[in-house]
Amino acid sequence: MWQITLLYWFTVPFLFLIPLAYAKVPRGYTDATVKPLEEGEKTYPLLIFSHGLSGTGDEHGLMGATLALRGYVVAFPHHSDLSSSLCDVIVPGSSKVQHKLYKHPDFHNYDLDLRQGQCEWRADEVEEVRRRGQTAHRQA
Amino acid sequence: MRYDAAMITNKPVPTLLLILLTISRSPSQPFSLSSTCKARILVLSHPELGKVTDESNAVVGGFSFGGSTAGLVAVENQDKYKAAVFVDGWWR
Repeated sequence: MWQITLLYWFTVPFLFLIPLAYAKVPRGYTDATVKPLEEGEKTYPLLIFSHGLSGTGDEHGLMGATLALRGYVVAFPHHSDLSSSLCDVIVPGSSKVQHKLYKHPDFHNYDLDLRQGQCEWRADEVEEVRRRGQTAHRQA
Repeated sequence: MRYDAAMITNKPVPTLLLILLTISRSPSQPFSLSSTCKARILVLSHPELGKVTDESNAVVGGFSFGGSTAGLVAVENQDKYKAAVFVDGWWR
């Protein structure tokens, strides 16, 4: 039994210390060139994917990279409604970044409208991503 | 069983190891959270991506709570999305 305890203390704590920055998404790049359109192909379809509660857009990075490879423009937004485990938001009018972490609800005075409100907020963000795509299209 | 920081930090030896490892994992370029922000701006302002994106052929999807989000988006904007994909959607 003591061996298991020893193994626990010398392995599990270290797992918490592995920063996500060290994780690499295979075939995921920040400086990749856009795949040229093939003959008869005009544009790529757009996929916007919303992450789960306490998740981030990064957690679906592998799926996003795979879909991008198959000819989709994919967007995996981090939601800033405090339902994401981590979302960094640029403060309007400045270059400062505000880190928004997951906020646990108050279970003693549970707000029944909390999740509904968050869902609507997130839906607005998904729509904003689509609208931003349109803006980029007009500017291009 | 609830796992939290106290489980680790109330033991002296692992605490020392944690401190040592944290120091060793803090190089001159620390874990930068704002890199996600930079990547997001890069993608949204990408000159070529806008040209090849077909917004009229958009699909919305989501996982778990994101599934309910995608459902709401799809219902409220039926004319703007061609399809909706819910992966283990959060319904009640």
